[in-house]
Amino acid sequence: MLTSNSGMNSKTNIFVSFLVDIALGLLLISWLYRENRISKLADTLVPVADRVAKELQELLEWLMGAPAGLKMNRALDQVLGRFFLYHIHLWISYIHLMSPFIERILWYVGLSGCLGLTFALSILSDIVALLTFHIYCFYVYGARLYCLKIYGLSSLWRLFRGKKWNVLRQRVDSCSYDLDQLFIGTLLFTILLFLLPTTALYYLVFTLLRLVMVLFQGVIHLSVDFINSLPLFAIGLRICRPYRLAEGVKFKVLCQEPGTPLHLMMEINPLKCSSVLQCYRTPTYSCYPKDSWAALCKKLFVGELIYPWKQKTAKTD
Amino acid sequence: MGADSGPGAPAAVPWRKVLYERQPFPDNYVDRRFLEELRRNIRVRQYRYWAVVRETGLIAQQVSCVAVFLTLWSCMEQGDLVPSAVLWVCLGCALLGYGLYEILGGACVRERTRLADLQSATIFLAFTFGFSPVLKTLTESVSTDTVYAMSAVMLLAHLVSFPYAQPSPPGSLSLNAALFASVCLASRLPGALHTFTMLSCALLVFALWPCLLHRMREKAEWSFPWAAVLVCLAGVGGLGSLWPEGALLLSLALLTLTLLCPLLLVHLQRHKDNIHGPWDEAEIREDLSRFLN
Repeated sequence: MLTSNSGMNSKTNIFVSFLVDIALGLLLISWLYRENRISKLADTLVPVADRVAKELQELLEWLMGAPAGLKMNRALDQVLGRFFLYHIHLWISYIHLMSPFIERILWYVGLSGCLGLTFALSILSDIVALLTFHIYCFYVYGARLYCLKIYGLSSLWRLFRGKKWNVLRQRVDSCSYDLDQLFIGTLLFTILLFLLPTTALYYLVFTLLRLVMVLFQGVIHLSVDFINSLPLFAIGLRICRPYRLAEGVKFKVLCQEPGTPLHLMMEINPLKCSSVLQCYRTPTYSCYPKDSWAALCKKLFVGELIYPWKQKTAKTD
Repeated sequence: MGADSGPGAPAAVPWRKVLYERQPFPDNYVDRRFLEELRRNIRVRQYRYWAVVRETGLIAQQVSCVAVFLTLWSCMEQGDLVPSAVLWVCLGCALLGYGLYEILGGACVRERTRLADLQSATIFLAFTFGFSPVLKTLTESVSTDTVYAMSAVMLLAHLVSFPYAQPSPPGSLSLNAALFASVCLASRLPGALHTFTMLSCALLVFALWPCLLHRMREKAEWSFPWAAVLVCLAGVGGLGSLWPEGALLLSLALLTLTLLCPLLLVHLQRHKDNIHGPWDEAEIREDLSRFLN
């Protein structure tokens, strides 16, 4: 019974999910366009962006002072802080430039909800990504600076001990350096070492902000995936017509007398709900974490850029 | 099992030290020739006291070099010395040392041209001068105690890892530790020119002076003890002008190092007990270069 209907079931599941998706999307549109909510949304968007930028500015001023009592190198602190503040200033100017067009853009974008709730959620995720683009930029700057510093420090630490990395043999070998190489190497090592706490703090702060954004996007993607892959038709079938989905059969003895044939009654065991979900889940282009926790921690420590969500490709299905 | 003392040893067939023939003895039996190939202390050197004292002069003068450097730093920090004056003196000493090095070098073939030397000096001067404002504010936010502790540890590491056997190309770890300590200390001085001066002094004292001393030792053997004594006196004297008890401690340490430790070394040689025998790793003694071409 399962195999003969499974083809029909999966197509039916997808069709029903699609219909429900569009219905929810139309519901969202009707709610959104009633009472002029779009313009209210557009009116609150620019102040919200301003507010976020102001919070970031306050955060940077806090970092440029003595954050949490940590002692930072004042000169580098000022340079980095001013650099990031100028970026925020540019971003605010850009938002103010765009503000007359935002209501119109939102109106047209809201119409796309008729293509389904999942479509609207994805667009929301993209809008949030666009609005927090400056956080992403800061994260990339901080991560690149920190990565360069860690790389330089590890290489110069090897010079400090009189060793170097043998690229051919992929191991650390001893090396006799010249006097000027040793001198300049030690100077740079000292400079990088004492500037490390400042850079590490900026990197930490911006990485945390970026991880919050990534988490938010992940939640949206997971809910989109959930809506897409829920087998509503199969669940409806299980509730209304349980005999269509069978796990096995049960036999009940009706009469057992010597001399007469055995009478048994057969009943169908319906599939458990959890097995229904597991069996009939629609495979979707879900996104799942690319690295394990240990690999993620190592990447964060070294300063590599992280892209934690990966799309499943059709080939590996 | 051991020497031939067991009562049950058959004396008819003499025992041979082979295992490829069946003999009437157990496998681990050795006759009275057990351990006859054992030799004791065949490679022990006989040290003579005054020769060892002469060699320890190198260690003593390195400790005094550190003391001289610390004296210079302390004077500059308290403002007793003007950095430009110290800079001119350093330049003069460098030129003098270079001239002496060349004169003593004499017949040796030079592995570096004068142009390469000039290039090194220019790079070093430009780099230090350019980075001295950065270096000056490097340890602003670190507390004084931490800076002093770090410098002390690094100078100790420099003394411990110094290549006393072959000081001419200065060892990486020792030179780097000394430079790290000097950068830490130099960043506490009041001006960028002070920092530059301190680093130049550090380079002279820790990197260039051992090369000159080694050259002096190779070419003019008689001058080495005088140079070592001079440096030790300078160290003690400099420390004495700042902290008299410190000078007393330093002179005591130097005397212990130079006079007492060689005495201990020579005296304890009698307790050496190394055993050698055919069980040691083989050492190749012949000259294999005849196989190379």
